[in-house]
Amino acid sequence: MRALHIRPYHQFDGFFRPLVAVAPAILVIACWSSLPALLTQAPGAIFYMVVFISVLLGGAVPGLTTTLIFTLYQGLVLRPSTFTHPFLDPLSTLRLTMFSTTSVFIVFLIDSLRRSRMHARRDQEHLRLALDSAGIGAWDLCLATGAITCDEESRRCCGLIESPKYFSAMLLDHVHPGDREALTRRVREGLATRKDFREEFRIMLPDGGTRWLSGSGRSLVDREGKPRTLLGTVVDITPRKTLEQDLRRAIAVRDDFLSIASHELKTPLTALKLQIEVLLAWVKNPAELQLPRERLGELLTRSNEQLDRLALLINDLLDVTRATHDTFSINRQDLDATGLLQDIVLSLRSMASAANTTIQANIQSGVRASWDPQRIEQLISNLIANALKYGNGSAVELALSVDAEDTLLSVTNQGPGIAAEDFARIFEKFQRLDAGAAQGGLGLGLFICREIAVAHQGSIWVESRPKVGTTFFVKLPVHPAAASGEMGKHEPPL
Amino acid sequence: MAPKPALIVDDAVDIRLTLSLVFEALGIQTLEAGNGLEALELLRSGTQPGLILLDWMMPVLDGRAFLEQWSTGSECDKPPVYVLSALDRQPDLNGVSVCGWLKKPVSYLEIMTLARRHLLTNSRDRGGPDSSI
Repeated sequence: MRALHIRPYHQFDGFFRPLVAVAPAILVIACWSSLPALLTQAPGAIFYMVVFISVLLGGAVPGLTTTLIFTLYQGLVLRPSTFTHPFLDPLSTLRLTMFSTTSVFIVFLIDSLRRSRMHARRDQEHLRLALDSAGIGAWDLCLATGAITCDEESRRCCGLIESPKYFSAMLLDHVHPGDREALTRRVREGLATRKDFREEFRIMLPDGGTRWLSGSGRSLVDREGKPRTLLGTVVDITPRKTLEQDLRRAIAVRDDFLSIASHELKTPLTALKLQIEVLLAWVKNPAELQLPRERLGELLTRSNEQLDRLALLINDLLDVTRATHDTFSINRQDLDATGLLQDIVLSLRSMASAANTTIQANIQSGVRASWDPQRIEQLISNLIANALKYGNGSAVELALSVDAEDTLLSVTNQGPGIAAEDFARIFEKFQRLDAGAAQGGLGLGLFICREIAVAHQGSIWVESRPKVGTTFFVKLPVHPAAASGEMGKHEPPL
Repeated sequence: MAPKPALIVDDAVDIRLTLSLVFEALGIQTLEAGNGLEALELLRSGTQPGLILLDWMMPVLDGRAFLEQWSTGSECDKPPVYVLSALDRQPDLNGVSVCGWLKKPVSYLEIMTLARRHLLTNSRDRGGPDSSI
């Protein structure tokens, strides 16, 4: 691997400095020794020099003005020895014409050079501005020496900013091992085909992190068509790459969710369709079916249950949409929290007995709160349903306690527990634990619980120990902040 | 001769109950299993269903795993297996074979057709549900 030398651009400015320091001194010494002779013998030389300096410093107009002054001065003051009027003397006239023509020519020549230099400088500044505002670093690689010349941004991109005297970096060593081969191949292809190339690769930073870069290159060839220099740019595309990864993940989560949601919706739908078709068949031809009449009532009850289940699923989906669009709302009422919780436990008893277990209530008496009763019921039902689902048949405990500031609700089971790394994830939408994936559900329950807690200005968290059990805590303030005009801010709940 | 029973393997209780009811209406007994493992245990205990309706996505042992384990067994004269799945597309079956793939929501007619093809063939001459075709 060849060592690549990196020199910052400003090193080249320093190259001209000694020249600038030496040139005026030489000029003054030269003038000092030759000025008297020049002034008497060839004043034109001095005039040309002054015109030159004038146009160089000021441009075409000062240059022409100086030319005019010297022409008049020569014609009017430096009279020829013949004592005839200089403008009438053919030799003087010829000399003046030659001087003014040459001088004007010099003025335009120097001025056009000066302008093109100014334009080049402006273009360069423009390019610099474009590079800076786009965060693009520029570099070039001399193919003969392997020296890389690069600007500040390129060095920042490559993480070399901390080491300004980084002149002999093995630059390729900094490229992520997984990207080295592709990058080398792309550069070789670009040089072989003389075509522009672009490659995205990771660079390893001195602090151990990685950064995504997009590098482009164009080879400059000599007269024989052989590449001499590689011009390139480099852009830090880490934010874009991160965003891409996030988006890809979000799309995968959404696709998973759609598949889960359609599966979940199809289960009650399948049962409902069969039930209704059996009923239809019975209505058309009761004799065809060996079904006693009393089973039909049972069939209708089951159909109704499927509809309830579908409605619940659809409400959960709507809640997610509301939470996503910030229109999740609550309708606070002053209520008897103790009574509400006792009612909820009663209504969930059948769910517990279906799971062959019980719900133990440990509810402080006489607690009053300002809650949305429907939302709190939804929250507790979700937590208890989860506790039953993941509890492996263990009893579920619901507790309510209150202190001066907060009401604390907790739902505990003695299930296998949740891994600590899942604590945050489970409150995100469309997330299910591996054990839950097989058990169905939209993966929205805890997300909705969190939204309900947050809408009540409270918080929700989980504590769990493997093989001991899991407790979900919900802390809601006793005195919610007055500015909580949720109803005014949001649409009323359905 | 009474028709052989149908085995319904599905983790959704509602679907099992409803399918049982449909088969019951056709005069067919049913066996139920909540997952592949329960189904395997039932089959290995000597039960001989005339038809298996199998859900694909199930806890403990899913449809594919059930078929893989079942096909390694030595049972001969196996009943036909129909997968009843909510999946949009039939996945690559990778070696396991099934008689058919039914998409949820499945219709009463489809279940009736299956029952007549595999379970009620012997009872056709007796009249009953088949005579309505």
